[in-house]
Amino acid sequence: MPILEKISQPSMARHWTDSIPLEFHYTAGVAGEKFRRELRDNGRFLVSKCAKCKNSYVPARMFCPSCFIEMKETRAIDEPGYVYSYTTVNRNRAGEPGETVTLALVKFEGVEGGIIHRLDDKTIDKAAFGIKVVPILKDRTERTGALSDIISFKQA
Amino acid sequence: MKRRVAIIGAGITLFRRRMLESPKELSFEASRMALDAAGLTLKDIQSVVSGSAPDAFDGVHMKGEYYLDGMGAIGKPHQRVYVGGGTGVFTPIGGWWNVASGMYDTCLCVAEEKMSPLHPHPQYAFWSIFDQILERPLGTTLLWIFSLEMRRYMHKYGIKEEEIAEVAVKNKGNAIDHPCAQLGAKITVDDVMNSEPICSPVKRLDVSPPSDGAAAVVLASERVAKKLTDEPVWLDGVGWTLDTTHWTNRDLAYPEYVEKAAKMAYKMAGIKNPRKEIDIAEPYDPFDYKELHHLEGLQLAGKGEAPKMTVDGVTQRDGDLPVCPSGGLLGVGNPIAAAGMMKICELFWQLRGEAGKRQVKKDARTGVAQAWGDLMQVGTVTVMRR
Amino acid sequence: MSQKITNYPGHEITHEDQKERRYLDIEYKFVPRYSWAAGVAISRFLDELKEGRIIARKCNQCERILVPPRMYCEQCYRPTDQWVQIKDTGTVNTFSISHVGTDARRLKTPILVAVVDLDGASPGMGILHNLGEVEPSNIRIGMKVQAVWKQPSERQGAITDIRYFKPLEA
Repeated sequence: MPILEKISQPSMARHWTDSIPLEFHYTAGVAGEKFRRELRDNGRFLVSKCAKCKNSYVPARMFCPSCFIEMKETRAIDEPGYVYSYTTVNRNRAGEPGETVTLALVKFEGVEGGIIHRLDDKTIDKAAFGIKVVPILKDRTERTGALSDIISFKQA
Repeated sequence: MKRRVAIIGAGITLFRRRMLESPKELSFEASRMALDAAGLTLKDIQSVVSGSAPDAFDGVHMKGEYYLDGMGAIGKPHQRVYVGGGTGVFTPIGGWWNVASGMYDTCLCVAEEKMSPLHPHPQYAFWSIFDQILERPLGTTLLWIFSLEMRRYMHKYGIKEEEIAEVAVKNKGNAIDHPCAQLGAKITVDDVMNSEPICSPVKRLDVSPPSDGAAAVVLASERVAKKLTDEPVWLDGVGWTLDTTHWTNRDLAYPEYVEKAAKMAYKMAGIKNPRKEIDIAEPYDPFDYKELHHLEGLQLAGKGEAPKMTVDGVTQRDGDLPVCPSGGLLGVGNPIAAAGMMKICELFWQLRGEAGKRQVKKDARTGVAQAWGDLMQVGTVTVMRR
Repeated sequence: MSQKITNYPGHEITHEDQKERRYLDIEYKFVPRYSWAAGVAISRFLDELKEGRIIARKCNQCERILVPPRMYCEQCYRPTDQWVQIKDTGTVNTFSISHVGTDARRLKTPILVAVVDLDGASPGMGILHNLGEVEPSNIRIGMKVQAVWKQPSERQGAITDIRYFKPLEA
């Protein structure tokens, strides 16, 4: 038998409004800590290399997801990346019209993974698959080791 | 027809208030150690079951999807099981379904918890498990529910706070010998009694700490287990039940949901007299009185009789029924799901005689692990044998 | 294998490390807002609280009078049958003196908390609430208590329309 008594007047249905406010202080992790320090101190992306399958990963990781062993070898990328894919966003997170931003997934030759970031205004018009790009960095004194240390990527 | 399931390897990380490792990295370390112990590589693993408590601790939504590469679960059948604090013992139960059903011959079971991201204190996330309309506006904390239950338990059976404190003394003492322990210490009943009252009758030293950590076991079917090891530990009984979230309508002096889960597991394992047939127990002890409460639910002590058993030394490592020889959550730490899995690891090592300084005196052949959680409502139980 | 392993993995970050900001932590605040539907039973319950009354539901099969009220009986697994006004008096089932707030910060004035079994509902049907007008050391399990209501104009249809429960006999 179903519940027969219902609320037929919508005004009789009550709601309770509240929030569950949460604040997080995340650790970057063993590999993440090294990645962030390299970005902050030298403005470069740190890559991990698996001694077994020889695959490299960016951002640096602690373990190889396919061989499931620790990756101890790291190196910083000096060469430019390339635009793997890109999209232009016209709305903000609430879905309202906002600032127009072009975002790209930047990959690096011979490296798994990549970095998601903005393309700079001058590069947007030239955005195309495969164009070579390099990061525009904030000044060393302003960098914290977050991806926001990078202002955007520009054509190399 | 269900198949017999064995545990063939176990792994664990340090338990600490805050660890540098990300949830993926913690999971990797524990999984890697369990695989090494079993003599397997990831390629040998057919399915993965993971366990972790509320996403609000790690601060990652879809935590099960996020951490799975640390559990070696990419491209494999993976499921996350969840019953709050009961999750740690529920995780190998989930693995048991995978193997006992005949679906898979090997299953990696991993429990991870990183509570430290939540600021200023992980306690805060527990606020959101209470009823949002009828309870949260009163300013609830999880401690309320424990202190209300502890008081009712003491009232019903005439138990003293000093008797309950014996559990904290024993477990923190046992944890001194656990290499991963966060709070191993030699303390006295007076230390517990004189510690800060935080939510009376609960005092500072009655409570386990929040922690980061991970633990894992490898399960195998009988056929595979016998090929890989001469010392399998059999997962011979599993049980789990939940009660309603209307916790204020319940008898707070006795965990009936634990009794039901225990009876389910005992029946499966063919145990008729638990107190005689079980040699060693790892009940869930986030608070000291909880160990006592759970011993009674597990039918290892009569109602209201677990405190006396503790005071008499029966539950010490050299006693007739060693309880929490690991050091429990009170001593080793309480990264929620990983803490329950730590108990599974402990029984695995104890039953194989590999627990070193923690090894119990008696020749333990059968053990029971149990976890508890959600809104005072879940019991998860496993019976393990060598 | 426990005794065969000498080195357990993991890097601890100590309290001092955090204070000195030795690691590159990432901080983030998350404030989602929700509007939870109270449903049939609790909408009525809240309306009654606003009127200074407590209402329960009765299941005619097990004859239990349930509070908080629900439209189904979770034991008989059938719809409950009728609304029943119950009293705003009850008995302390268990209590606690809380020195911590929701975020585990220490409170200057402790909160007195109790499960109160309400008169007129089935035995053991308690609700969570606060106690007031009582010295913490005088609270006892089994003590009779009565709701202290907010002024009608201050009530908003919330559990906090009851300010707290106070001892029935001085």
